[in-house]
Order: sequence, then structure tokens, then C-alpha cells
Amino acid sequence: MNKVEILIISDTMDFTTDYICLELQRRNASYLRINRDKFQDYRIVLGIGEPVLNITVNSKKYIADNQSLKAIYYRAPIYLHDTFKPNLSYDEQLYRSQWTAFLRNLVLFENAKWMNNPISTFKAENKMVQLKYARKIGLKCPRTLLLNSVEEVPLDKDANYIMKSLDTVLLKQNDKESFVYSTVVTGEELMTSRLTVAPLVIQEYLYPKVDLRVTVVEDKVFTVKIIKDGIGVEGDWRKEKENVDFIEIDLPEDIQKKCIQIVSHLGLSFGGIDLILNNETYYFIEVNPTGEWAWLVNKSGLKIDRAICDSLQVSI
Amino acid sequence: MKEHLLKEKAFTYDVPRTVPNMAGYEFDDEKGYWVNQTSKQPCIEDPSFVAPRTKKADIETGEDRKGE
Repeated sequence: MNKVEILIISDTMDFTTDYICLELQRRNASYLRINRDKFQDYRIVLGIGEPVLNITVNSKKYIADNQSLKAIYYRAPIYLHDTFKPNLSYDEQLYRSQWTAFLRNLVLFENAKWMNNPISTFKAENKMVQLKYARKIGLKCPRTLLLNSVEEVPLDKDANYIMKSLDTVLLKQNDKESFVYSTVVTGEELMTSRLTVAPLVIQEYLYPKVDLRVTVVEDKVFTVKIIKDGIGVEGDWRKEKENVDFIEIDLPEDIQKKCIQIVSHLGLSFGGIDLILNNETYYFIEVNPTGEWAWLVNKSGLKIDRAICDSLQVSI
Repeated sequence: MKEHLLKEKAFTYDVPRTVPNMAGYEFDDEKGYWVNQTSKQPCIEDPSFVAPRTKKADIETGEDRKGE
């Protein structure tokens, strides 16, 4: 029986998790990665009381219990975002709903250090909540409204605003899929759109700006600025993802401290924070509890994988 | 009135999108990562493997694609 000290919950195609497992293997850590697309290949029994999780993978038996299990690295959804999936069989529907619930139930391992605990992620993934916390700790935020009508909102029809979805939008129909980036829109466009069907977020348009990605792993902070041809990118930089550079920078100490604080105040141990630097002022945009980071290891040489493993290996 | 702005401004593309070609690699359950079938070296350290590059890398279950 193999005692599991670090349990990793992921997906087979999540290569970011490969970085963690490789680093943990090099450190001779006792870890197990389970992939939510392979549950059918595992044999799983979870008992309560002193919680005990028995997992058999390829005839190899693993056990995670309150004594052995020190940390859980959670790279899975806390709820399913895809609102439309036609033609799923009963088995597929059962698989999706019940295994997702199984993952949620792992929060019974209350003595383990979570990165991140789904309960905290559930709260922290809400944009308006994040902004409230950011303001509370003294980070400047763009003026922001969540609305489904602009009738009572004094907009300038010729001014620019940033429009974004409240949650990830992945719309599917037939063989097409649509994704919504943060987009520059005019006041007039907002005034002439039928917004009542769904709420959206509008924000003050800050330009010129430089996007910053701040990855916080407990008290460690890794920051890059995202530039194209030496300057910031107008609108959502992800539309230019092949043409931008990620340059490591140091944040001012007080901003760095506030980034650590917001992650911590939201009950997280990891967060990918988006900031904007506009006219020498740092603005908080959002924090991603399930944020990606592997591209920063590759492109900018940031040792985020090591920082995560350091954190997972420190007993609570 | 026009359509909802979230629909109007959405970036639309064909599905299925490019799925990663993992021919020549296998997932090692014990190690917890993909390896080259021949050399057994980690896939993410293989120069010929297109590793995740941005947070919008299509093949990742990234921050915007979690929950699928």
C-alpha cells in the first residue's frame, strides 16, 4: 500500500500538472495524480470518520488518510461551465455530475493544505467579490458596474468602456463555439444593445496601459509585464498571444504585499492576478484561483512550479 | 435594439478545435506525467512537443476552459 502525502486532482490533458508531478518526482515525494477523465479506470473507496481514500490505479494500491495526506493540489472545476452539451448518454451525464460531486466531497480532508480549496475558489471566482476585497485592502480598481440595463446609468455615447462577461462565456451551437474576451465598446453600443437577457460587467476604460500578470504562491510573487513591440496592448492581450513578450519585473513592495493579501484574504494559497499599470497607477483587474502559469515557466523562466511544490511539501 | 453585446462581440471559431497529437507519447500513471514512448523522457521537456505557451493555449484545461 502506497501512502499518499500529496494528492493531485487534474485531467490527463492538463500539461501544467505535468510540471508539478515531474518536480515532485525529482524530490522523491509521495504523490498521486488522479485525472478526472480517467475515473473509470480507477477503483475508489472513500470512508468517513477518520477519512480514508483508497484508490487503485493499474493494480497499484494507494491510500490517503488524515495522517498521511498533507496537501491537495486541485486543478479541476468546482462546477461545470459548459451549459450546453447535446447528445450526452445517461452514462456520460452520470459520470459528469457524480464524479464532480465526488471531487467536491474531498473537502472532508480538512487537515490537508489545499491549493486551492474548492470552497474558497467558489467564493473567490466571483468578479464583484474580488473587487470588493481588492478595494478593502487598498488596491485601486477601475470603476465597475454589473448590469443588464444602462437606462439609469449616465454613459457617454462617444466614450470607450471595457465590457466583460461575469463568468467565462463559452457558447456552443452546431460546429461553432464562441468565447468572450474583455472588449472595448462605446457608450452608444451599450445603449443600443439588448442587455436584459444576461448581466455583464462594464468597467472604466484605462488607456494607455500595460498588463501585468502576478502569480502568487502563498508569500512568493512572480510578476511579468505583457508587451508588444515594447508597449502595452490595447484591449485584451490574449488576442495577441502569439505576438507578446512576457518580461519579468519587480512590483513595488506595497503592491506586492497587497497581492499576497488579496489571495490570502480570499482563503487561497495560489492566485493568478491581472493588474493594469495606467499612468503609474496599479489597478486590480481580477484574480484567477485556477489561473494558468506553465506558459510563464516556459517563456519567462519563472520557477512557479518549484514554488508550488515547496508549498505543497510544507506540512501544515 | 441589437443583439446582446456578449453575443455580438464574442470571438467565434470552429469546433472541434485542434486536439493535441499525442502520438509517440504515453501517460505514465505512476509518474503522473506524459513521457516519450521511446526515450521515456518527460513530454514537457521534449523540444519537439508544443508545450503550453499562454494561458489561452488551446490544449490546456486552462482558467477559462475549466469546467468542461
